[in-house]
Amino acid sequence: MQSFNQTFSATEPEQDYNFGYLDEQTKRMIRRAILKGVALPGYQVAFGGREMPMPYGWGTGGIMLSASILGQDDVFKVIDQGADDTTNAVSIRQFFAKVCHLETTTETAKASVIQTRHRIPEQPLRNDQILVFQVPIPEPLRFIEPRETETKKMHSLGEYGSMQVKLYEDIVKYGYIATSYAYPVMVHGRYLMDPSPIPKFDNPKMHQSNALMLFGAGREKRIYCIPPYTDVASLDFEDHPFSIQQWQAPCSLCGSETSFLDEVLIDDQGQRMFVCSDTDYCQGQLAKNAAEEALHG
Amino acid sequence: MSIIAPGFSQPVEHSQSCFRQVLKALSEPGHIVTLDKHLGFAPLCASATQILMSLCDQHTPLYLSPRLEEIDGDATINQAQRNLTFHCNTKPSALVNADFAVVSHSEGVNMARLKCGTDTSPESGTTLLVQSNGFDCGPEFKLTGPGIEHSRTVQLGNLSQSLVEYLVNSCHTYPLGIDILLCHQQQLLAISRTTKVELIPCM
Repeated sequence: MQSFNQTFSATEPEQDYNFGYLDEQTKRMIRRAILKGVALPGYQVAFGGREMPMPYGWGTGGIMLSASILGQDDVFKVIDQGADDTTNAVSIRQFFAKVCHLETTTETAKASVIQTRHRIPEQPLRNDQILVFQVPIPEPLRFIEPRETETKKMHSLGEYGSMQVKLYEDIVKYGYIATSYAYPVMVHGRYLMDPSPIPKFDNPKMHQSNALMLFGAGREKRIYCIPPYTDVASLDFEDHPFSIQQWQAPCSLCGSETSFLDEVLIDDQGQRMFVCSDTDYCQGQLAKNAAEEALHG
Repeated sequence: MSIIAPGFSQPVEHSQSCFRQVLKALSEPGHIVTLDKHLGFAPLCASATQILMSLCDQHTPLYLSPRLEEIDGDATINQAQRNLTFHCNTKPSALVNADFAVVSHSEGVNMARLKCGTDTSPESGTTLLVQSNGFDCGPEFKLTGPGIEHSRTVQLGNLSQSLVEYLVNSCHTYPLGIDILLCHQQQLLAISRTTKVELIPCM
């Protein structure tokens, strides 16, 4: 028996957790929920969420999804509001490096699975990539109708007039649709979906996307999905068509005129600058600019 | 004679890789993927066995059709069931209650009897595994819908009249429905309930 134990410990390096932290039973349950979610684009599938070693609000929904889909060969990237170097992104990346022993990256093109909080990368995704969203409140109708029993009924009947009314109230109050993030979308012409608090700037990227998109809400215990090449339409009106944010100036660092910009305060006098929210994209543009400059002297 | 055959040699890695293949197949209906981590419990084919082993457990009632025995004369369905019960702890169930059901391609299935979900919980519909006789024979179908960029033309094998009827003209209205995984040896091709299937008339 002792020799068996010795062989066992020699072949197995010190491993306190199952691969991906979750146990196999939980992974199977989440995997079944993902598959049904894929078959019902935009529909929120309930699942048995588990306690994770971090508090709700830190991306536990996304982490449970990632833990259930990641394998040894995957290359994992995490972004938080577009940035690879913020606390949430760094801690989740380290978590998976520890419990999966897999390769992590900050480069969008290299990653096979990207977990994201509140952004879709600027670089167009490929068909072999999976985007995992962290979702705080999955129910788009929650602030209109707080009762879950009612919202379930509204989804089953496709009764989404109240959401149009909410957008209309924006127009009455401000003259335009003031909702700028978590902008509601219709998926495959059937289910109303909250795209998680991504800026509406990213909404068009979901329409006919090359990549599979999975959404996980840990506290609310819901999973929903958008398969690749699926119609995703942002709600709007004929006379107030959907439009995305635009900026007066390009990114102060890389000069990009097409990316989503963050406003950053730079001193006590209230001076500010606008920079790309997607750090990997910004660095890529900077490298490209430097290479061009070197070429042209 | 009842002999328990080995399951996945590396359960964690293999069930993950099988799941990813099933995910790929279902998110892109009509795309053929290969599952090559296990030979299968006859008379179930390799891909069907791997799907069941990676997704089923004590919470998923499983139906295996006795008609599958016609494909492989030597093996009985009870033998496959015993193996699956041993490895995944799944319980046999009647077709009407099953979350996962495996049927033969030539079998007439009364699809209206299968679970198709409810208006408030459409996700409770059955996942139907159909053991096909190949993706290079039978009538041609044109697939469109989510997961398909423009359209895809596929052959699904010699399916029974009732299966073809369901694919082309489903008795369920979306979002209710049954998700179909067609298995042949190591290959898997999925038809999601969102997929629009049209029969291409023979020239």
